[in-house]
Amino acid sequence: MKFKINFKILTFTLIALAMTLVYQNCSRLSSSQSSSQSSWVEESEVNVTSVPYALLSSEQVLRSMASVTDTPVNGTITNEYNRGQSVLAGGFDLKMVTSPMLMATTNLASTFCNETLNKEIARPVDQRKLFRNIDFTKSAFVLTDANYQSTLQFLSSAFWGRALSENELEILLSAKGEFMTPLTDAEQKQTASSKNLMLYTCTAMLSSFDSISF
Amino acid sequence: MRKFLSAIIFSQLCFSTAFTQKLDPMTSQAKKILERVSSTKVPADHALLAPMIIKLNSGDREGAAEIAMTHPNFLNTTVKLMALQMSTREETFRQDLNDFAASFIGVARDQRDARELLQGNFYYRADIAKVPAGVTVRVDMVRDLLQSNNHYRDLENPAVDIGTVLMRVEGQSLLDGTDAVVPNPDPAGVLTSRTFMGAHAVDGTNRRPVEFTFREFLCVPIENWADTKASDIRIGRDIDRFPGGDHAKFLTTCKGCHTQMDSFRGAFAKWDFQGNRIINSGVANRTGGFDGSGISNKLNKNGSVFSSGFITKDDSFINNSRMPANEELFSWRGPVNGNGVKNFGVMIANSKRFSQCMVKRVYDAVCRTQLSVKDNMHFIRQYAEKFEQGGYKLKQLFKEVAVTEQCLGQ
Repeated sequence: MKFKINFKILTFTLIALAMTLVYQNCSRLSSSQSSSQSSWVEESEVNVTSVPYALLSSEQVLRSMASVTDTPVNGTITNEYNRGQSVLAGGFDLKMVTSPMLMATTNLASTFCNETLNKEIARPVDQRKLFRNIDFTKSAFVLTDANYQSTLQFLSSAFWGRALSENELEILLSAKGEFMTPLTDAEQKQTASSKNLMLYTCTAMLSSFDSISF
Repeated sequence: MRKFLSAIIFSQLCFSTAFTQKLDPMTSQAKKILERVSSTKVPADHALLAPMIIKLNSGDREGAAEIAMTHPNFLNTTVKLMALQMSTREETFRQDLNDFAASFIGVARDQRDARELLQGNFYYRADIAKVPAGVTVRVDMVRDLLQSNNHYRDLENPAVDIGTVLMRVEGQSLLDGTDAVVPNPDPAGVLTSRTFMGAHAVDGTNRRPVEFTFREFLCVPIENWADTKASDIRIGRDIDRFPGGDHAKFLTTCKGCHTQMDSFRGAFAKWDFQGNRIINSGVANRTGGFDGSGISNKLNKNGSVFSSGFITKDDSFINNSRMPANEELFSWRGPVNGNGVKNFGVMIANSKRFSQCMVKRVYDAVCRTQLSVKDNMHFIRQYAEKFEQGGYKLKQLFKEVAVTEQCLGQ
């Protein structure tokens, strides 16, 4: 089961990464290149190559995940970070995106999400920040689309600093379906499925390209 | 089927026109400034955004940046990573906090004149009273600061706010041969930090401290300031004038770099890094490796390679980078010859190029790119002059650069 979930998370993360890469490249490059680059040269004679994106370096990823999840770095997170630090980005260049880097990022994101979930589940519902619309005492199968979508918006606002786009929402809902479908009858009744679904969703969003670039 | 669906999804994503649920422009700009300055992604409801937006709405971009700089990660991440990259030969920020970076953070935080980084007699260490309870920070001056990086490594604890706990200590210290702590006779800011000396004065011939001072603080790699037309009178005896039996090769290649490095390396003649510590021949009871005049043996080693070469007899240096090829590049101001690392640091810090280099360093740190100095001199000169007029305050420079249209990509 554990392996199954991790595999799903990884697959979803790669889709999310591709999604944000493709989608953002389409939008921001087209809107910024023509106007800003030329004006830089005219106004200030600055020949900086426009960089619509830069990777967060290893420590920046750590600090950012702590910041957006509002979860302090503890021993568990530090251990996971130390395990993957050497393959996390050593600079800003997008060329530093590698498979090991993505896996280390996903692992770190899942550790942060797990800690965040543990923290929030222990709180009264009205004091939760990200998962206030999730009833963790019930199976994920009783979770309504409305509550799931509102949680996605909370996560998007925290991690990406913006609302979800329709396309992102569509993909995330589809991913939820892919998560639920293979569960056995017994698994469907387990209340743990709610936490697992949130771990899956949170990890995918926290390790997406928008979360590891600025 | 899956591939087909994926292709459809991606093509839809690519051709769709309304993807992003954008924030309003001021919120977006405030968030961008805050993330750049703090090197940290922040949620849309971060507490610093509201006051920043108020500043932006009133047209006060620098005011917004000033608020952003109150984020602890400005010092703990942005300034620290910038300094760490400059501190060692590997130029990586994948390393623990060290004394070089601590001083950099402190000078930025305390709004000191950045030239102190190359000429001041100080260092920064933790004020233990400010370290959170439960965090162990080793503080033995000999074992944890002068013989190892333990003290600074211990500060790399998530519970420690480095920017807050650091305190300035006047007077640098070294160890003598009996492990007694003695005053540094030739203090020069971070140039005489354990990290910088450990990276560049270990082994070798003490050309590397010169090369990396220019590289890190003047943003000029050696190949860009090599000058074959300068005098070779200071080139050491260990440099073959007939490499492969070909004097022309020396004249056209080797000489260019050595006329420069060798003219300055006398400044480091009394310095070495042995085992785990800095050694300076000016302190009493020093360990071996120096001649009777206190000159490190490595300055004059391999003397038979070209026995007519320059013999280092003191810690004087001359500036061979004043020929036409380099004069404009560095724009020296003040004394250009002298003795020891401090004088060397003063010379570097007072050059125009130092200010320009700091602009590049800050730009690279907050604007996520590598600014070409050569291609952007107009911009760099403009901010370097403001940096100097403002008293060489790094924080002010961060504030000004972070809100430039170039940096924000507007």
